[in-house]
Amino acid sequence: MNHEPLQPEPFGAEPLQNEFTRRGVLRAGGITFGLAALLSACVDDVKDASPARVGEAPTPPSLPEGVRTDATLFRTATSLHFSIIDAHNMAKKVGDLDADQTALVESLIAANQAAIMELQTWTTTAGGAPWTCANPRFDRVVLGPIEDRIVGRAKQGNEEADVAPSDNPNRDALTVIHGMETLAAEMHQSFVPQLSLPEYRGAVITQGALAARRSAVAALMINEANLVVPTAVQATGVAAPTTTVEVTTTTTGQNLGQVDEDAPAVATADAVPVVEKYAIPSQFGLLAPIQLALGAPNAGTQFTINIETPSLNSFIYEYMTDADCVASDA
Amino acid sequence: MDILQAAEQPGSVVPGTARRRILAAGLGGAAASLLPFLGGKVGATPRSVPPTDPFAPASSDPSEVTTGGTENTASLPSSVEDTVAPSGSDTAGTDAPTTTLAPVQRPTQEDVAVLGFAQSVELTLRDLYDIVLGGNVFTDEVEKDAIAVIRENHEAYAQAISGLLGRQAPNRRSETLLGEQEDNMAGSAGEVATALATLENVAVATHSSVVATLVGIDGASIIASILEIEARHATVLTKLAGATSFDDLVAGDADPLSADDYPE
Repeated sequence: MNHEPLQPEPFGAEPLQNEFTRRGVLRAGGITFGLAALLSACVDDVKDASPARVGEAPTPPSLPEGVRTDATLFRTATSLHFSIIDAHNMAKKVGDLDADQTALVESLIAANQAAIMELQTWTTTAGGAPWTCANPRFDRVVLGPIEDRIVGRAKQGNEEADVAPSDNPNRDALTVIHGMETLAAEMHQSFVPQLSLPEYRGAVITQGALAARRSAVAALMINEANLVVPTAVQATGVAAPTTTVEVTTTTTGQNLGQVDEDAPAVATADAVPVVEKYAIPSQFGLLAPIQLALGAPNAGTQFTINIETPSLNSFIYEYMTDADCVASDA
Repeated sequence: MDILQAAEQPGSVVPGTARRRILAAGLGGAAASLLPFLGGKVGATPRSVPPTDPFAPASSDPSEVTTGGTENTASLPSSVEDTVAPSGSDTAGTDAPTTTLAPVQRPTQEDVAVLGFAQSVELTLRDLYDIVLGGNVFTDEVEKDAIAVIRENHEAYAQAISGLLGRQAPNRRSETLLGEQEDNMAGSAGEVATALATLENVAVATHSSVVATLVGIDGASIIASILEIEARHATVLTKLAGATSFDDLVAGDADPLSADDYPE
């Protein structure tokens, strides 16, 4: 060991106890912030509208922009007529229709095909590409569940029980037929204020009037005595007709907002309230959702589904192509 | 005082140490100032196109409609307000939408004349139905009720048009049309039903041409809701006239009336 005494540090050597002094830290910090401020002021402003993404997340796909054009509306109307034909064919297949009813459905299909050709021509006039198949969303969201309630199916997902087949497929098929033609009439009426040119509005309302006539014929096919809704008769000041209500154990359908006061008020497991369909259901053309009640009654109620006129989520936008088509029986 | 002792005192500044601290502080500051700049360059590629909702409309305002591939400002009146067009898609092989228009809501002066004529047709029909009801042509209660309801409907249509036009509404029937049709309102129930069905089809054709003429969409919407029910009237009356075939029940061929032909 060296027992020599410690030598004093030479002049200029840094004493260890002076590494962090208050004054030194303040000075260093001040200089740091000063330089940082200076450099930040000198750098170019970064105005990045698309902030950076960090990590492995996939880049979101660039989805096309849906624009509601005149051509979009004509394409949508075309698609719905294809879907209505699908519905009529389904009714023919599962509805146990008699000869007269089958003939009516055949006529309705032909009329819808004529409407499709007309609307495809107008699509071209409006600068779009004609649509050639059914409405994918409508078929998936509306027609699928309707068919399930008529023919039945096994339970899916978290359903507790199988969907039972209808107790009266013919009744449900006629309800669907009438509802579809009513929907076509409402759709064309709803497009009138959305189209930009008067001639386009005239074109769709012409189709709307034809669909309204077909809806009236379908209502008369179901019950030929149901000419006008009883509430309208009451409004005229004369007694409401008493012979127009066909009392059945299970009759369903849509009433377009009209209440049939002669219908049974109390529902049982086997008898649900009668909801009649009328050739003249209201004073003005309605745009309300069409409620269809279908299938076998369960505890006095039926499965109901609301059908609405096409809107933003079911339009056939111009970016949609044949790849978005679904098969159609048309 | 001894120099060595002074050098050992806390807080004393040694020239070499101060220079080193200044350099370290400067480099640290420079690095800190570069952090925001370098941070923007870190990671994945930034989005080139912000995600858009494919089902979102160009505008939630229903008065803004873009025409597909056609410039149609020329066919609209000067009062139409041009607005900025949203970018469109041309994936369907068509020209991109170029114009967004805000259609006129209220009836224009030309619309007022057309709607006034439509109202006169409705009031005439109402009075013709009054003649039928007064003559007790229909004896069946169901049929009579249907005729009464249709009569009320026509009056409601005239009132709706009056509500739209306000003081500009003519509120008078067409004497010429009434005179032409008055004689057809008598006879058997079948004959009268046929005449009324024909009149309803004429009304539908007239209103269809009115919708194809009107610039203001308020008027077009009202007439559209009227004519869809009048089409149903025609089907019901055709049924009352004895028709049973589908083609007969939905037939609606008729020539529209013109205000020039029925000035009063």
